[in-house]
Amino acid sequence: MTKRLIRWMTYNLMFALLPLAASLFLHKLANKLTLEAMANSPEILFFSIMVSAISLGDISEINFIIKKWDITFGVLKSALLLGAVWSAILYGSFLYDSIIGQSLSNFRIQLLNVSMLLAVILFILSTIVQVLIGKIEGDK
Amino acid sequence: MNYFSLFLIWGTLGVTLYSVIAISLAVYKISKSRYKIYQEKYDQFMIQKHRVEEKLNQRSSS
Repeated sequence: MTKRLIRWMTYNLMFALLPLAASLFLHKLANKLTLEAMANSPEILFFSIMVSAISLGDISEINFIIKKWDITFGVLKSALLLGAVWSAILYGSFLYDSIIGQSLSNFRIQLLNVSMLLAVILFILSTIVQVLIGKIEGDK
Repeated sequence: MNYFSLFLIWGTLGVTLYSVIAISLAVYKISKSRYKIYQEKYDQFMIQKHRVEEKLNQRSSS
């Protein structure tokens, strides 16, 4: 399990956080790190999509040993899928707001808030999925 | 607040609630060691895989 978690933290999480970290770093360098600047960058949604997609892929790898219908794995898969789709919908609404160019009052700030909530919950969910898969695999 | 923002907020809350249910189920499975049946199946699969690989190696070397 430890190996899987280390691999998860090192490769998957770090690479999923890379666009967000780069965006924050560049904003900081330009001395423009404000809440508004954060609200104008959708990288946090890429993180949500990436962690849920990776965990979905990892569940599919051990699919052959799971019973035809296991409620936990069924709910985990659908929650991850729903999370990925919802992140894409939020990204779409971010783009829509950029394209129409008539930014509604506080829309981006609200979008940032819900994106952060989604990112945190999908991070917890994906980490627990990795722990569960790691427990099944053992230290191999 | 317009309907679109409300849709996004309630949608996110729905996804969050569903994810919390999924997290609870997974934590329950881990804490009660319910994953062990899959652990056994996985071990059996790995042993079988190892045997097949050994046989294939023997065939290719002979």
